[in-house]
Amino acid sequence: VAARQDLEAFEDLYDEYADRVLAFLARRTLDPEVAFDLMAETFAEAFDHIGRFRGTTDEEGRAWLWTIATHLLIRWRKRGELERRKMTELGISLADLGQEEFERIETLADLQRFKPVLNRALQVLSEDQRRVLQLRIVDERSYDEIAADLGCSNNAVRHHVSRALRQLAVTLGRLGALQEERAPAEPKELIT
Amino acid sequence: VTDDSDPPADRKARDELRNAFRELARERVAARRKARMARRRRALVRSGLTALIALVLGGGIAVGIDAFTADDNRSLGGDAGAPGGVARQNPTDRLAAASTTVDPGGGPPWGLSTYTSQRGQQCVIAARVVNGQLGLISAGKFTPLRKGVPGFCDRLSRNHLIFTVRAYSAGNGGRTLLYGQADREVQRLLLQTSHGPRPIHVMSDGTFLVVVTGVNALHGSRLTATLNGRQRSYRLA
Repeated sequence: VAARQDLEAFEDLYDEYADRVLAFLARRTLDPEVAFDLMAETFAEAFDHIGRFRGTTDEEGRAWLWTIATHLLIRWRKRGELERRKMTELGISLADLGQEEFERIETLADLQRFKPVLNRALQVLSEDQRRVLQLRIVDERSYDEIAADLGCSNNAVRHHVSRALRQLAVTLGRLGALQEERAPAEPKELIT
Repeated sequence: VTDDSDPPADRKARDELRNAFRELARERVAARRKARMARRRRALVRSGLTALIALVLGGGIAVGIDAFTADDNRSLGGDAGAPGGVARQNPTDRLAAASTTVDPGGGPPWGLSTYTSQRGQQCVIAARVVNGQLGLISAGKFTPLRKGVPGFCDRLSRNHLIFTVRAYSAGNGGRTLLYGQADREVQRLLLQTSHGPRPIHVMSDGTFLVVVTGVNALHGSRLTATLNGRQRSYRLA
């Protein structure tokens, strides 16, 4: 609401909600890079269309933001690829995620909550994918440790884990383990 | 000696995105303010206060002329110490790009590296060059960039041009860097500042690097690319 009156307050909106939107998307995509891209596009849409927001309370503002995020998430699932339409239009480019930031977003995704259903879900993955997810999620090993075990680079491990998680997200979705409900105005998985 | 300290590594991309929105918001607010002022001026003219308007405009024009006479129309950096555009492998598994440029304050020069991200995007990273290594100066000490530090990445094949503006604060006035890479479709790059247009030298490997004094020295400037005869213009944050 404040950002609609004063666009320079958009920065405060971003500071307050960037991590919450990121957590919301990370928990549903299980892919830090996809989640970050969708978060960026969510705020880009909000920035460009803030003049069209007709709400009068902060709660309505939050609901509007989550509606945009949910809409983009659904579009990503349907099309299977990311669009950076609004980011491109605004002339904003994203920096590549470094290892620390990648791992922080992975923490936001709270992969540990899938442990109970992981065994069933892992059956559909390849042996290699099962192995990296076992090491990362079940054994909670660091990327450096996994890279040393498998004799490959840290980046290669991240790539394998990321691809396996995307496949896992599809399977968990079928098993009903991913939350598919529309996000509430004040989402429950807030990171404080 | 400048201090090139960075934001926390686990929030770097997030914070850079926030800064981009901040700059965009400032630009839009300034543009709205300017438009509002223009509307008010027109209203004043219509109400018959022509003499007063002429006085105000006269002052404005005088200031404008003074600023424009400072333009020396020289080509900005990007061509100093270039090794003929031949990319070479450096110890951090990245390709050292052709573009290097001197530091306007006489400090260690600045250079550029390129690499491809794991998502297949083209990336550029710029920093100071000491003994052939890229790094930053903090508290007077040069620290090489650690392996894996992220650069700026985008799809060069789709956009034909990737670039970013990066500011380093601290002593000696700070530095603002404009750097990136263009493919063969881009024929010309022009930097339009308040002092007028200046051509940017693009190396044979497509990289370019401009370093100027000041933290927000390029805020409000425009980068214009001539692409297959057509011009694309970008506002700089």
